[in-house]
Amino acid sequence: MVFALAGNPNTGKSTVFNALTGAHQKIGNWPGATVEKKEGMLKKRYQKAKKPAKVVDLPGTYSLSAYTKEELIARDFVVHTKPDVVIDIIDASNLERNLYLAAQFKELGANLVIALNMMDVAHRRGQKIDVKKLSELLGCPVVPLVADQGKGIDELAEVSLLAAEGKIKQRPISINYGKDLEEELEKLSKHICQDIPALAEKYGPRWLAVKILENDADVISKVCEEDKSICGSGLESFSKDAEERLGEPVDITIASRRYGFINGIIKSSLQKSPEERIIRSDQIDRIITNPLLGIPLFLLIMYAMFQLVFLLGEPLMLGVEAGIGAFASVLVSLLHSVDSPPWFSELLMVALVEGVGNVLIFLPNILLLFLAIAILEDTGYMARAAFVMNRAMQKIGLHGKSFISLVLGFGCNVPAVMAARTLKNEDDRLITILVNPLVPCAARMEVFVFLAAAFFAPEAAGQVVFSLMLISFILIAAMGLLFRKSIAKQEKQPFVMELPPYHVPTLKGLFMHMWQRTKVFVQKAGTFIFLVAIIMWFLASYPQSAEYGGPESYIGMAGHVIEPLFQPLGFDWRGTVALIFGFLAKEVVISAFGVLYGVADDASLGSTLALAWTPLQAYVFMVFTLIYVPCFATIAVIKQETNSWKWAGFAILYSTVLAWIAAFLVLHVGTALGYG
Amino acid sequence: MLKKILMEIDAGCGSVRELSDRLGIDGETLSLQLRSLVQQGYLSEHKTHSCRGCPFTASCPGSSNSCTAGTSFSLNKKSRELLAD
Ligand SMILES: Nc1nc2c(ncn2[C@@H]2O[C@H](COP(=O)(O)OP(=O)(O)O)[C@@H](O)[C@H]2O)c(=O)[nH]1
Repeated sequence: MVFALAGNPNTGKSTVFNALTGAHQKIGNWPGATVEKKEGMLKKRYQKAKKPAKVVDLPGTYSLSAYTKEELIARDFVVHTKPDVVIDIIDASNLERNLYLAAQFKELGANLVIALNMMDVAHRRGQKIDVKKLSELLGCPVVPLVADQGKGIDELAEVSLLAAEGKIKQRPISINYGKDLEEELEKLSKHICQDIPALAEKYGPRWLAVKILENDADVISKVCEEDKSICGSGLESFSKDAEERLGEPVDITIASRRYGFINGIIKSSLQKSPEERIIRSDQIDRIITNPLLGIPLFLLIMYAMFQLVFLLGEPLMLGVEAGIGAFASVLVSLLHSVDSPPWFSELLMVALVEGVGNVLIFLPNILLLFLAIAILEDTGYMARAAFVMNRAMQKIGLHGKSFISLVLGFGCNVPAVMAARTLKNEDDRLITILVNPLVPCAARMEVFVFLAAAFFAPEAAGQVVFSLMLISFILIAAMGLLFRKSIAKQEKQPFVMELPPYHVPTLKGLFMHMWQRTKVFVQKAGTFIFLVAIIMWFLASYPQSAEYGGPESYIGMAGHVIEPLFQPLGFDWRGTVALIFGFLAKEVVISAFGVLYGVADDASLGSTLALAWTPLQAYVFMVFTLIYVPCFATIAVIKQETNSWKWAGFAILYSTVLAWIAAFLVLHVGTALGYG
Repeated sequence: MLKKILMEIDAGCGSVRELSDRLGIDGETLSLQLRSLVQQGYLSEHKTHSCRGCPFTASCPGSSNSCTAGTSFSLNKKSRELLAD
């Protein structure tokens, strides 16, 4: 006696298999395939007297068409081995999808027992299943289970044994495929009975007819093997005729009608009070993803986020600053007590306190920013934001899939550029790659958080960063449009998107996310930024005769050479040097400020800067930082992904020119408005 | 019915919920039917905002493994040919 266990993947098939067989299992492969095959003997306590029953675990599948190896294996096993009973494990909380397979087993004429597993989940989701009704409609026994708690396993074994012994009658079901197809099926069945009686006997003429109409490659080849004459002309014409009449491929119609049949069953056996969570999600989405409200709401949320970051961050920042000040004085006295050489003390002070310390002062703000992002992500809002943006982006001509890459850009442009690989069309890819550096990455956000906090009152700082985001969006749209016009034509790319339901984030999840990001930031501050700070200190201190950071130092000389280029933007040579080092990694801009300005006196870096720069100058500097040359790593990856230095060079050139123009405009508009 | 879904998708972008409103099918059913269309080769499915496969996942502040921005379904060659007929 043979029991076959079938079912969709993840419905608890293995759990049921283990419960039925216990320890006696044999694991191998299905002949000719690398699909795992498990067999076992039904546990002794279920066995009745003479006939021992073998349980065979079929591969998990969603249907019995011939699309995959697994489907073919399951189908062939049922047809050829003719198991005494097929136990179809169904996920009760997902009836519709699972019944699709069950209906196909019934069509195939299997002796079916349905194991309705995951009843607990269905119950939790407020679904009431009328088991008796379901069993009547499907014409086979249905046994409810909660397999992982062992509930219902005994009943399942008992019912399956009875069914295998023929003590429970199956009622055949017949899915009505609609008048048009039924006529076709009838004609075809007749042919089959006449011309290939052997196959008709084995599979059933109607089943074969349905499969032939569905254009099932496996069945068609079997039919052709059996009778070559029927193959050439006759078979395809049936499918073609039907297709012409239906106006769509027959396999689509058949699947639709099978779903129709299943829908009927579900309507009369399932009482659903849909999950509260999903209803609420839907209601929220009606507003959040509304085509008109979506973008304004997104902007509002971003605005609120930046406000929060700076207003809450301010007091915390002062705390950290005091902490770093204390650390500095401890360091000074320590260095003094061990008589370290003055150059070494200075180096440590500059690199650790001015370079790294200045980055760390802004840690609270950055932590809050990461926390806000984690909240938006974990609740499911980010998915909506991406969706809303995506819809807008399609309007301006970016490929729907580009947004995956652009969204990643908010983290880091490097993986974002790589993600453009998912775009098949070369032009679409190139545009996505070229626009990508305009997305303000986390590192640039950190620079903005730093500069905004240093130059602006907490109330204004949020607005400043928000306005930078706006500028970046506008530029992405404008450049996307421009590249689209000049590089390539747009192809229509409609899509639908399924959004996961909203959920209340867990504290642990939020903390983990925030921590992950902060860890990366701190690591970078401790290693890379520290190193660059040392290099800058060296360049600012030497040659020996030069005053620290003065015009005769290496850094001063370099700064002065390039300064004229940036004079129209109002940057002094220090700002210019900071920008140049920013090419290595944008965070370095912060420590560059620390190293170049911080040493001058004991006042906090913020107040030193505020004396040297007007808020407008700072803002112009931020605009430039937002747009100009992406960092070194991004350029390298652009070269790698486009496989051409030309495009990498172009990315450098266009972004710098764009940055210069934008900064220049902002400076002059700002001055004209009286912010100078 | 499935063809009508394809035609509605072709008509413009949107979320599954919007599509289900337009077609008058309940959302859960629709999402199953979309998967069935994927299986039959009429739609391409993309999980979005998934950082899997990127070599920088471990060190990238923008990546977070727990988050998927959803699944998008788009027409492909097979379905476009079908709709063109
Ligand atoms: N809530 C619930 N979980 C179950 C039930 N049956 C199995 N599971 C769980 O569902 C998951 C998938 O089960 P498994 O047997 O591996 O599924 P398979 O992929 O179909 O073999 C496992 O984590 C099981 O513990 C059930 O009745 N209720």
